[in-house]
Amino acid sequence: MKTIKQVWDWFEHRLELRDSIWPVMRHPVPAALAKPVGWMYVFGSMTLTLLMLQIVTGVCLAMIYQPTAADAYASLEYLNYEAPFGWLLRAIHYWSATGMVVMLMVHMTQVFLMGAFKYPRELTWIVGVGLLTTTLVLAFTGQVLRYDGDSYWGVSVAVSAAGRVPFAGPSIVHLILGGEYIGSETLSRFFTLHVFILPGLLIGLLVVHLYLVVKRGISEPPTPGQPVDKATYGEEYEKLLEKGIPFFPHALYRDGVACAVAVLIVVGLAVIFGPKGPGEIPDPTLIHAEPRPDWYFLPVFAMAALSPPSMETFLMLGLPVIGILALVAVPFVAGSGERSARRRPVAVLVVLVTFVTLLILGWYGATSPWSPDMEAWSSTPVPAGIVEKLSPLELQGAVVFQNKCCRNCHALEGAGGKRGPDLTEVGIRMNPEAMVRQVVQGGGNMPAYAQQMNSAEVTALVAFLVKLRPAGIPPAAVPSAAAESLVAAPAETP
Amino acid sequence: MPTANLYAIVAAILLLASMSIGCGKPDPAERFVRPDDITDFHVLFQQNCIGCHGATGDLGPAPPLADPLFQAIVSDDQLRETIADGRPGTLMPAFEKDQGGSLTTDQVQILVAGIRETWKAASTPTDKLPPYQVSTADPAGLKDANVMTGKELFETSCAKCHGDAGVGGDAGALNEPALARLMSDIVLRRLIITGRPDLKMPDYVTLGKKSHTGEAFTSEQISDIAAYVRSLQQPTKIAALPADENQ
Ligand code: HEC
Ligand code: HEC
Ligand code: HEC
Repeated sequence: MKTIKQVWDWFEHRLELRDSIWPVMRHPVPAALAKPVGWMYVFGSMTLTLLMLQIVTGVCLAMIYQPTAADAYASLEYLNYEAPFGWLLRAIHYWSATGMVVMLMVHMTQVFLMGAFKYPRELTWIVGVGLLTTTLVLAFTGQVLRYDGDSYWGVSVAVSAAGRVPFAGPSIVHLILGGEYIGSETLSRFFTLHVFILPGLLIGLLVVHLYLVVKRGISEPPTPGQPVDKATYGEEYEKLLEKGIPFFPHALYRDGVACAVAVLIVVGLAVIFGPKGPGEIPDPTLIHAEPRPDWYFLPVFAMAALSPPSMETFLMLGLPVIGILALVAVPFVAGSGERSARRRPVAVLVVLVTFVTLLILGWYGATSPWSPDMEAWSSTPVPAGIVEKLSPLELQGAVVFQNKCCRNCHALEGAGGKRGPDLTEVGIRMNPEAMVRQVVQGGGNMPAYAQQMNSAEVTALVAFLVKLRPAGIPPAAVPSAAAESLVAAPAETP
Repeated sequence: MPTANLYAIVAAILLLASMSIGCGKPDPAERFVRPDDITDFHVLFQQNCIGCHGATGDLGPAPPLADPLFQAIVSDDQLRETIADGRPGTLMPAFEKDQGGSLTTDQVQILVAGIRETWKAASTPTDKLPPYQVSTADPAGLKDANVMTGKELFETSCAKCHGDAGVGGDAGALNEPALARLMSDIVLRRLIITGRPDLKMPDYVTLGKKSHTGEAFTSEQISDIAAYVRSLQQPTKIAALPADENQ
């Protein structure tokens, strides 16, 4: 016992923690934080805890990961299947990244709605925006390190966006890729960014952020009707703190509990769902890939996909910049005045609209069939229930349907590509004439098949499509004479 | 008390996590395999064939492969050739890489072996079976076929289902001109031999026994019927031309 005390004193004599850390731990915070509302203040700490988890697992992963195009994929497989608990490390790293982004968003929403970004804490918010940006870039670079089809494609998209920057575009592309195409150079660049540069930046910003949090004090829970007035706020806050409670243990214990929950949830998710990928080998010649970014980028992805080509450059380059600038502008636009969300309907509306938009775009990004299902023609059977009803000619028509890859875009009974409408009951809604026109001339995102089908194929195909309707329901009205002449129309390509 | 709730939540999560330990561990069996490296017959068949030949090798729009009688008459080489090169002029695509397909020569071989292994004929006597291919020059034996004999056989067997002159009855029409261009002669012959058990069309033994001859069709009779069906599908040619004019 005595030796421990001696050692402690030896250190204390030199570090003087009692004078530096202890006062920080005991610094007064508004007494209201001891009430349940205090639970609203834990999200920042939760994010920080997950960052710690990221650093610990990240360091372990970096020991095994090979940042070269030749070995990256194999090293991930090694982690997944061979290294003891390698899969768990990867899983925790992935889920904790997810958790970090989620908690950051929750934290920012809370700060925004409780008006904590207002005077005198504007800089804390701005640094926070920097932390958000850095975290998202970390998430992106991390996704690239998972060197699979999605990752490859993610870089391609980022590069094609960067390439459109006026004047500097090509140089930026070269800088990102470290060459003309995606390869080892690219990977080691992203590795350096992900492992050294961005974490360094993040920790730097974090120190400033935490310094500001302590220096400016934790904001008191807002009361409606008590607006922030730059002239008097400082004084009032001082007064509030005189009746305040010490940060440790009263506020810190909640942080402790919340952080423990965060870690448990992340580890739980990691154990249950495991790591993500690696998926397909990153090879541009494998056309089967249907790449999708990690969830945090789905909204951006959806937006780029939905936008008309003329807007794409603006959306991909301009929108992120505008978003960041808007966040930075928040404390300057609304730096004083009411803090309570009850008196700030516009702020509440902004939050709602933002989240609804993100959710819709994210959902769209996650579920939309961006590209046809390239394998459906040969790997998705024509439902047996349909085959049983077909005549010899219609059977041939069904083969035409598969052979000409109609199935890659059109599902039957829900199975197949989703680029065009499901055709299970097309016989009810279209007459043969309209079908021939649709197939021969295409239209509305569907290619024209006039050059790729002979009249026998069109005849069989249309016979098949007409049969696609529930038993007992007549086909759509038939102006047959017109249909006949159109059948004969396509160029003969036997 | 929120703390009590929290402890409950924490406990629940702990329990859940420990209950499912390891279920997130990636299964090596699910690791991504380069398309060229796939050597499992079922995967290859599933990815490349079931779109047309049906999920289980039958009940697809293309001729069933899961048919012991078909397996008994077709040779390995014929299978390999059909898969590798496809059937030019029909909707059966070529699958081997040199032919513009996506499979390696080894993978085609795996498919042949797998089809054999999976749907091999149990114990059909091979000597009495009509040949799948009559000759290389004339695979379905149509050149020497007698359309008139074919007509007679058709009327006493096929017509029951497919209608007189193949206009369609309980089963669909066979006199569609488009069929002449889409379905190859060899497959027409094969369908008369094997029928479509999956679609309730009987094979040549049953068909023959119910026809006026009362016996399983012979190889020549099968060619005759095929020739007659072909003539039905070519309205420009007179349906009942004497056999010698058809040559
Ligand atoms: C690249 C994807 C794609 C392919 C391949 C494709 N289609 Fe389409 N198809 C579409 C889209 C998209 C539409 C919707 C067009 C529109 O909204 O006008 C459509 C519409 C149709 C319709 C009208 C459906 C309706 O309910 O209005 C039919 C019929 C159709 N396609 C048949 C075919 C056939 C037959 C083939 C093969 C020869 C084929 N399609 C190949 C994308 C495709
Ligand atoms: C796009 C549709 C399609 C796909 C996919 C397809 N086939 Fe076929 N296949 C056909 C058609 C149609 C025929 C009949 C061609 C004819 O008229 O001779 C056929 C015929 C065959 C035959 C000869 C049958 C006979 O009775 O002579 C074999 C064997 C065969 N296919 C094997 C395969 C295998 C193995 C695959 C997968 C690698 C495959 N097919 C994929 C459409 C397809
Ligand atoms: C017991 C009734 C029956 C008889 C007899 C019969 N068929 Fe069929 N056939 C069917 C059925 C059922 C089908 C499936 C398609 C349909 O329902 O139209 C079929 C399909 C066919 C097909 C198309 C198969 C495919 O895969 O595309 C051909 C060709 C055919 N029959 C020829 C014949 C010929 C030639 C004969 C006489 C030798 C014959 N059938 C006798 C019932 C029969």
